[in-house]
Formats: sequence, C-alpha cells, structure tokens
Amino acid sequence: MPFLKGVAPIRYTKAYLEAGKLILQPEIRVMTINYNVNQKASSGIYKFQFWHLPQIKYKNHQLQILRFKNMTPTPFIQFFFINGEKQIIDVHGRTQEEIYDHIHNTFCEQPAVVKPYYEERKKDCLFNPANFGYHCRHWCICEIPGQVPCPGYSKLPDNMRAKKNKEMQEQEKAT
Amino acid sequence: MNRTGMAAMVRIGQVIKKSTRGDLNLVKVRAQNMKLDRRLMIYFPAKRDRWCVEQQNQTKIGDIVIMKNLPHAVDKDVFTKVNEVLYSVGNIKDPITGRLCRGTEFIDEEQRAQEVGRRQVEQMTQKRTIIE
Repeated sequence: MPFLKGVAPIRYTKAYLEAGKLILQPEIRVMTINYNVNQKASSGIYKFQFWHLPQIKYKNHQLQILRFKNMTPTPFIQFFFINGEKQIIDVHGRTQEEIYDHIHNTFCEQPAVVKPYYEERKKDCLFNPANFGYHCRHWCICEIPGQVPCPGYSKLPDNMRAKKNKEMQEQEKAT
Repeated sequence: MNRTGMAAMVRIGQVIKKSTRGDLNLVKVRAQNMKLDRRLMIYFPAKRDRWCVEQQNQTKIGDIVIMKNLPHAVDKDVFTKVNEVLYSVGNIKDPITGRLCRGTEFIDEEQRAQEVGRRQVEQMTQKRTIIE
C-alpha cells in the first residue's frame, strides 16, 4: 500500500496508473517535455506532466521520458521515432486538455476494431449468393430454379447415383 | 546477453566523459529513465551510462545527444554510437523557432540590448558637444 502523502498522492495508486489511456505507438522510443517554471504559457504542459506522466510511463514501459526545464523560451513536447524521425508539438499557451487530446488523436495507438468471427461470417453469407447453408440466403442449391432438384423429393437419374453406378460397374466386371 | 544482432534503439543522454580507445573517439553518455518503486508506486530517475562511438570529434562534455545502436558491437562495452547532438552546451537552439537561446530568453534580444547601450553612450557624448 503506498504512502498517500504529498501533493495529489492519488497519482501514486495502482488504480490510477492502470487507468492511463495514452498508449503511444510502438515506433516512438523517446518523449522529451521542455517547459519553463513560473511561466504562464507553460502552465498547461506543467499540469499535463503533473497528472499524466506516471500514467504514460506505466503504460509505455519501454519509452524514455525526459523533462528539460528552463532550456528554451517556448515550451514543447518532442517525440523521437525508431527510424530517426522527430516530431514537435508546440505547447505554448495550450491547456492540459488540449495537449491530452492532441497526443491521443495523433500519437496514440487507436484501438483495433476487432469484428467477432460469426458476425463477419453472417455478413459474408448474406451478401454472397454462392454461399449455402446456415445464415445464408438459401439452405441448398436445389432451391434455386434451373439447378438439379432435391433428391429428397425426386429421385436423381441413375447415372448420378453412386449406388447404381457401383452396381453397374460390378455387373460389368462380372461379365 | 547476445550482442551479435543489435536491436534498433534510440535513447537521449548527456555526455559525461571523453576518451579514446585505439583510433576510436569514445564518449560516455548518461541516459536517464524513470524507474518505478514498486512499494511506493512512485517513479524515480535511474541512470545508465554507456560508452558511445563518436566519429566526428564535435561533442563537448555536457551536450545532450541522441544515441543509436551500432550494427555490431565494437568492444565488450561499446555497442552504441552518437547519432546527433540535440542541444550543445552553451549553444542551445530552440527547435521551434530555430533561434539561439539561453534559458528563457533568446540571445538575439541580448545583442540588441548591447547595441542600445552603445547608442545611448553616443547620444550622451553628442549632447555634451552641442552644449559646449
């Protein structure tokens, strides 16, 4: 059980860390946050990293997160990709929510839309008239006019019946 | 750990030391990361020092540098290289504007302030001559 002492100790609870939703793309390996202390324009990014930095690190274990304070006049976030690319987010004067939404929409993994197997199968069956069986338009090809009628209702001709074919072959062999 | 096939890696660190080994320029880079204390559930900084190969001898101690893995390890403890200098000491360039800056000020403003000081001195000398 963590010691719930200090400023906003809820950030140190397991439930809070696991509730993080910013799961960055796996190509991103380093995230640097540059901001200035006691600067009004940096207040949004300060709040963002105050609340969300532990969550981001918990969910992205391999990510290196660095904070650079009072290095440049403008605050920004920089992402470094595995192929050597860099991306900057200019964060001057932006609020915590705007920064969160920006990162969530552009740099996070969007959840894959996983379709359940049977729903996909149902749609295929209904759409494709060449499919027969359960969940399809027709149960059997015998229902379609112009095809061989159902042998359950009218006997097939002798040349299409395996039983008769076998008897014929045996008779020929005997003779 | 098998170092024959190096995985792709990108890390940012600060240069602490410089040395040479044979004809290689080596540079010790300290990369900081956050490590979770499982009992307190707080992230604390954890450092990891690596010797990097640096082909052009351009880095200074204190530079912030991007490291990448070499295709094959050169030595037992040398398996990374310095790819790029992000921020060089005393010469930090703001990546958004591209201007040189020092802390929370752009250096161009300081240069302008120096010029203004010079102009004030010239004006004072001119006034004296007019009065006389």
